[in-house]
Amino acid sequence: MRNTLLAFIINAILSLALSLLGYWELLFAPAAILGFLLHLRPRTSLWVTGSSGALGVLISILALPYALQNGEITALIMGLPGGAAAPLLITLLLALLNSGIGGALGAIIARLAAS
Amino acid sequence: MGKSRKSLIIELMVSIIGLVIVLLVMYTPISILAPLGNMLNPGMGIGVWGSAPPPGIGCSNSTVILNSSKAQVIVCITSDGFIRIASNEDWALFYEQGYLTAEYRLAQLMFMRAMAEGNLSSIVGPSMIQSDEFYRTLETTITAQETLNQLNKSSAVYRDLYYYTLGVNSYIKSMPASRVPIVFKVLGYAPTPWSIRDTFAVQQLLTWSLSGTDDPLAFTFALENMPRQAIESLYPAYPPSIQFPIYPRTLNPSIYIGPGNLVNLSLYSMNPLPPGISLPLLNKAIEEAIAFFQGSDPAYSDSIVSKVLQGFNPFSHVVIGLTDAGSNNWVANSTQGGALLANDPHLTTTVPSIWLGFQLVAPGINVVGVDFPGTPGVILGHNPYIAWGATDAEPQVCYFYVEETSPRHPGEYFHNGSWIPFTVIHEVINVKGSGEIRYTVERAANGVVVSNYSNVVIVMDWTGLYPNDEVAAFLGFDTAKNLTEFLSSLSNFAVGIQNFAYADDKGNFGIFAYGLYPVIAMGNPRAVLPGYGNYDWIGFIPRSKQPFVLNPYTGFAASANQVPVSPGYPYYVGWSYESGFRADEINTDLSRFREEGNLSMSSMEAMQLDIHDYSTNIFLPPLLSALIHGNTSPVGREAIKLLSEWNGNFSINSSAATIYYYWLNYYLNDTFLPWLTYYNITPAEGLGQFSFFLGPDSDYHGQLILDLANWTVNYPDSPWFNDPLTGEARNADYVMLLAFNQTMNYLSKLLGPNPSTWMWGRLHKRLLASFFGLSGLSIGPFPSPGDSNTINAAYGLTATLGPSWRLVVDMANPLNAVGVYPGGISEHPLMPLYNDTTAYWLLGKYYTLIPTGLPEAFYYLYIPGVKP
Repeated sequence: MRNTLLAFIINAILSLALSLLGYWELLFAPAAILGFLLHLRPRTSLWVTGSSGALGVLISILALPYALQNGEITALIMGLPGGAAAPLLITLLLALLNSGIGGALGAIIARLAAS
Repeated sequence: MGKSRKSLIIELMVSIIGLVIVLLVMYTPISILAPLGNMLNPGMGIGVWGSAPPPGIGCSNSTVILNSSKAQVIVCITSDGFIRIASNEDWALFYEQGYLTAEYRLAQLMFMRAMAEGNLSSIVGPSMIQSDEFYRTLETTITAQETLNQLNKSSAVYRDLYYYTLGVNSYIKSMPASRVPIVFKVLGYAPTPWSIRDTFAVQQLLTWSLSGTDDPLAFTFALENMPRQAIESLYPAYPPSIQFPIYPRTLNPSIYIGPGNLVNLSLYSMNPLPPGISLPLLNKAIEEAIAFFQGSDPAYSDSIVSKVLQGFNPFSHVVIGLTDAGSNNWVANSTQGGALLANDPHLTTTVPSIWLGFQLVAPGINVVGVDFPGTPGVILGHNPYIAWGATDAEPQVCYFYVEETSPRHPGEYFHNGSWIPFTVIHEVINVKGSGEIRYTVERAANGVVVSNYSNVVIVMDWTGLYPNDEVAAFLGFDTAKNLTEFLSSLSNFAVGIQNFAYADDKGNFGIFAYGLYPVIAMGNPRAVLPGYGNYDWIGFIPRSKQPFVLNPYTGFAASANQVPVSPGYPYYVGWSYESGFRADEINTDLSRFREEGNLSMSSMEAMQLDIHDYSTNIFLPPLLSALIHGNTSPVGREAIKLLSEWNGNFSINSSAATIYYYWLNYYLNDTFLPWLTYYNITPAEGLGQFSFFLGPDSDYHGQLILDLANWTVNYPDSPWFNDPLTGEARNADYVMLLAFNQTMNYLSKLLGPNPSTWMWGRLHKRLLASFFGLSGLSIGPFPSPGDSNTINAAYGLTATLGPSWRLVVDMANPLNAVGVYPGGISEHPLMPLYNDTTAYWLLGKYYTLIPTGLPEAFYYLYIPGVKP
């Protein structure tokens, strides 16, 4: 439980940092390292690093002054319904998958190494 | 344990594959979209989330340093839609204008350039190929380059263009990622540097929208299918109805003296065919040419490009174009003695606007008005000495020819006695997502090829196919101090001939339609001409005979795209103009104000907001007379009551306006559609597309509405009211009643059975359409007064065309000049400056163009001792 919380917090912070710097495609990397080091179960690691990665991305987006208005304009340009919600959901889904799969990968490698 | 390890390995493989898939999804472009990983990147300023608008209203001082030259610059962004720049160096003025244009309108600049140069499909994909092919055929880039090559590199015009371009590129180069327009982030497009040639390419786009036509293609079918008597009755070469020409013989007899080419033309006959060309093949070639124009030409549809993107992507990218529906301007000697000028060009009303307001101040210049992004200076406006405005003169400057070809001379055409190979230009169009496609443009001595059907080749000659520097005209206007300097600058204006209204501080006022008017020696220019040489342009109307009026004894002059000259003008200048109803109303208003001694700024402003449709003066009395004798329902009787009490004003609360609008359209249709059908005019031949074939603008443009006015008033028993399809004998009263009953049926179904609730504003709206065709970014619709025949014009039921700029100035006191355009400075939808002038524009209010409270420099040349 302690490892889970630790993984969540650390991954959220690292994801936030990567997002702010514009390297969100690398979200899987810290998640994989955490999944490897903290010996989480792969499924747990997937959800913990995935959700914390998405949280880090969400915070970085909301830190931008016109983010939601920009999201709404993006949706209008793309013809997506629901205002800023649609691009925001797509962004968070990509972050969740990227980070979560990375976390699961780390955890699986850790188990393989231990076996 | 072994099974568990195997399971882990499988999970590992699945995870790796999953991660690869996620990364592929993030970094693979989907259709024309940028990769999601780039587009949605949450990093500061990188993706869409981090976009930031440019600065809002306020003034700032700065120093501009370029190549060791230094200049002081004051920039004020004001909430009236104007960017104000003052500098102690004129090079810095244009540098700053370019920089700020890019800062507030970069996406518009890039899209206009891409459209003009036939590169839209490189930004928005395959759906724009047809548009790109069209503009490649117009040789926009080639002509722009030729214009640039001919430009004197030591001229002031070149200098202004040079620094404007430097300014645009300085912004592009220094632009932070957060300022990249969101639409570019979505499309994955990186802005590329601007060039002087690009300015001329955009100029070509504008001049085409003002002067391009394919009328002669479709009119050939009228000449072919109809007997001469029908052509003479339906399509007289001079309008039959009440007209106030802009340059009547009475106001300037000098231009009517001497020989011209009109007497040698045959305006009611089919032209001979070149040897070897059969009529069926010619018809197919013309149909193909019409499809080429109508399918990709912005001047003939509501928008320049309006196609839903193909494939997966769910949004339609439309670049709303510059469609010119009409315009008004007039000049008058004010009751107080100064020269008044009013102008409202009716172009597309978009957000961002096609205009951008500027006040430009530097040594020797203080000009205020509106500018097309991409062009240095001010296009329409005033300076301390002169004011100017423009309406489209609509002369015919596009001529069509069918070339003589032969299987024995492949790739050649017969011209002036010899076989000449077509000049072939190989174009490569880069299509996003599809790679390159090759496109061939062919050119003959008398134009570019617009159709080739089984070696029947049709070419178009257009004055815009030759180098022309209209930018120089506007830059000259900006600094002109008197009529001589104005006319000297106007000599640069060649292609998109305008009725340039002029007023100055000496009390002079006039209208000038100078430019290149082609002259042919014989044949019928209203149709496709033989291309073997005898029917080519032999020159242009000499300047001394070109239409103008200066300081007329009437005390005013007006243009609203009506027929320019009186009967008897010796040259052929065209035949398809606006109906003249707006001009009739303007002349009536000006005469009344003159009699009342009320020619003033306020009465000119009231005129610009006039919503009385002059056509009601003509059609309403006979309609009401006919209705007295007709059997009508209770709904009809209520409608008649409304019409009989109506003053002809298209106010939003008027139900009579709604009834009249639909009735007039039915009346027009019921009269002419049977004849067009009878004479086998088909949709492929232009039925419903050209105003003279009942196109969507036929109630305000062209010949048919004027025929109808003439016959209704003067010849109500004309046989042209008969129905040739059924053989039914009819007269005007009969058709008017028929149209009235159709109107009642239609409106009852549409709006319910109570005519008093059929208010015009329920159906008639104004829409500020997104320039980029993104409907979610449009402003409106708003219930709107006016129609296509009112001075305050609003074309169609959802009007995206109208007074795109209103200017009223009394040159006795130019500091009091007023103006307004809809939208605002910025293309960024987040900014208040995207839409902060619309309310004023809708409500008919005006801004003082040089308001009080600005830094002192902006009153330079108005207040003695003030320096820029």
